Amino acid sequence: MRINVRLRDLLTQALVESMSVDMMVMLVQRFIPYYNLQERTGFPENMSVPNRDAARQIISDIRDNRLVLQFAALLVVMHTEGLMGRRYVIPHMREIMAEIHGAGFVFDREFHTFVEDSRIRRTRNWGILVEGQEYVFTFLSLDIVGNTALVREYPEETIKATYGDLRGIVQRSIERREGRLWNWEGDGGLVAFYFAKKFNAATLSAIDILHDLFLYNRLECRLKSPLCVRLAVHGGPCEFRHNTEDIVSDTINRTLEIEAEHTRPNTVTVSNVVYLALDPLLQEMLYPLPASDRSILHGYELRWEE
Amino acid sequence: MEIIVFSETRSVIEAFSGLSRKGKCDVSFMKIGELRKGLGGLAPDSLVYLDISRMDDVALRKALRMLSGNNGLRYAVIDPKNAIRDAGALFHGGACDYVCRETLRDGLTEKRVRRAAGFRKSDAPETGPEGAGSRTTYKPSGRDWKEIRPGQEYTFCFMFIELDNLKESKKVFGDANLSNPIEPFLRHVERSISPAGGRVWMWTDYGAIVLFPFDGRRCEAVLSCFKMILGRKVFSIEESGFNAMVSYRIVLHIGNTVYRVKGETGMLVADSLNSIFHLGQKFARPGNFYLTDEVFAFTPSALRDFFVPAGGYEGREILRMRLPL
Repeated sequence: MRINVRLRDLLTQALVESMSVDMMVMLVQRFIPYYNLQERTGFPENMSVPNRDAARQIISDIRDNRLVLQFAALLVVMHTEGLMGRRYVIPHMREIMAEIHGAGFVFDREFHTFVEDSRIRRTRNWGILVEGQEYVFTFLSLDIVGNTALVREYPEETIKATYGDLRGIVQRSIERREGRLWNWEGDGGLVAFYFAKKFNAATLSAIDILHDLFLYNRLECRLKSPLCVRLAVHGGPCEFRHNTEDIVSDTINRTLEIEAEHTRPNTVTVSNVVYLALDPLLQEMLYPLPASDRSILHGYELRWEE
Repeated sequence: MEIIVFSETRSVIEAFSGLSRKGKCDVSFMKIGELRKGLGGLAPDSLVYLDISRMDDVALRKALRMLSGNNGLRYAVIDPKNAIRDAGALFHGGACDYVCRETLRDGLTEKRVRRAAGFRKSDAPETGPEGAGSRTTYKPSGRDWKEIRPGQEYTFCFMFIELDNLKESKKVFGDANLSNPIEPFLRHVERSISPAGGRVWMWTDYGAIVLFPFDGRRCEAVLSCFKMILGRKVFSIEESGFNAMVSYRIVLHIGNTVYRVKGETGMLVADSLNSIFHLGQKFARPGNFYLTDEVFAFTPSALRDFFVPAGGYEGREILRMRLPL
């Protein structure tokens, strides 16, 4: 996020008017361990740093380390919920929030952080994930069944248009639930979920895609036979990289494995890790799959009353 | 009856021009490339002839899908090169005539075209007195709300939707708390109906009567309601706030009413309105979606096998959607 002068001044002012220098240093050390204010400002060790100089230096360093959103989020939490048992009244909070909102970010109360406003922009890191850090994600893998045969059988335009329609269905479904498409190749892709109820969101997206695809096949599909997909949902830790194609992760590998080896066409398979974290109502929609090699899996398919 | 011929082939145009000169048929010609555009503004009783001589397999399939998906429209295929191997399949798909090279050479007659038009009854408006069990004299309100004026009578597609099991819900949530879960449901209704041009006309205690403009050709409300039933569980989990499966029943019916703006409907008396309320409140079972046979005639053919007869009510045949499990 690009920090403008007004936001920088507001944050500096907020620190100056609400806390001591020691408190400022304690806050900044949460993000930059071993932060030494004297060293940064050039004041000798035996001299106290004036309040305004300290705040200005800290905000400048926070900005240089691209930690403005995280730092501002901490101020919001201090202001609304308190920190270590004490409430702080941080001035200019409304203006700070407005400035950040203007830059395309909204405060997520559940995660206590600013995330990008998906109505304004959508990036693969939700605007806040840091390169090289490990996070817990839920992944949704989708694969078109019989891609090779389809590519051989139909003209290129037909395939392009059909797969484009499928991508549209996937995107509509995941973006409603704050999912991000990390990878889309010709015959499928990988979606990541990080915020909100990510396990529910990934599973519901998969179910939603299956429903939309059912209607698409009935009403719009250009192919002679219905377009079939396999969907799998799994979650776990994964190191984030901005170039998501470069990410190597056991969690992603396992998701792809579940999709490729344990999922029938036009069904969703959910790993036990995800299943246990789902809402009970959503768990009721899934049925247990026959025990596989190393874990319990659950499935969903669209079935109709006779 | 208007005949529209989509062709750029001289022999086809000559054959149909002769028909136009001799008979009383009103024939107009359009280019094949204008098919999609041309289908947009046709009268409900039109008969479309499509020349397929310059189409490859993909284009043909696409065109036939477009024609058969255009609910209520009668169409026929002209095949000057006798390229189609299975003409019967065209009829299974909904075509009402097939003109091969020999037929074209021998000449078309008005009688043949009228017989073709009669072969597949149009789903276009039928006439008859308004009343229980009888077909309505349709006064199409159009594809959208632009031409609809308060005080005028129009044909609309009526939708009844209401939450089920309210007594149980009241026990669970309490009277005062019931408004919280109802709000997301009402928003869900509004969001689901808007793509098909639906507008909530009357709010009932726990549901709504919705009006969809009806142009006599298609009824997109069916798809909206189909999606609402298909996505009921997803809505319950994700948005309802009930923390339990939400059950609602839906009924669709096509009928006439004098249009009054929302909030000024208190004194309105319309047979269609009574019918939809009766169907929704007395006939419909919890969690189900019903259509009257008037609506079924405008249901996309690809979804028709999801509806099964559910008996008659007030002289109308009612169909019920098979539910997703």
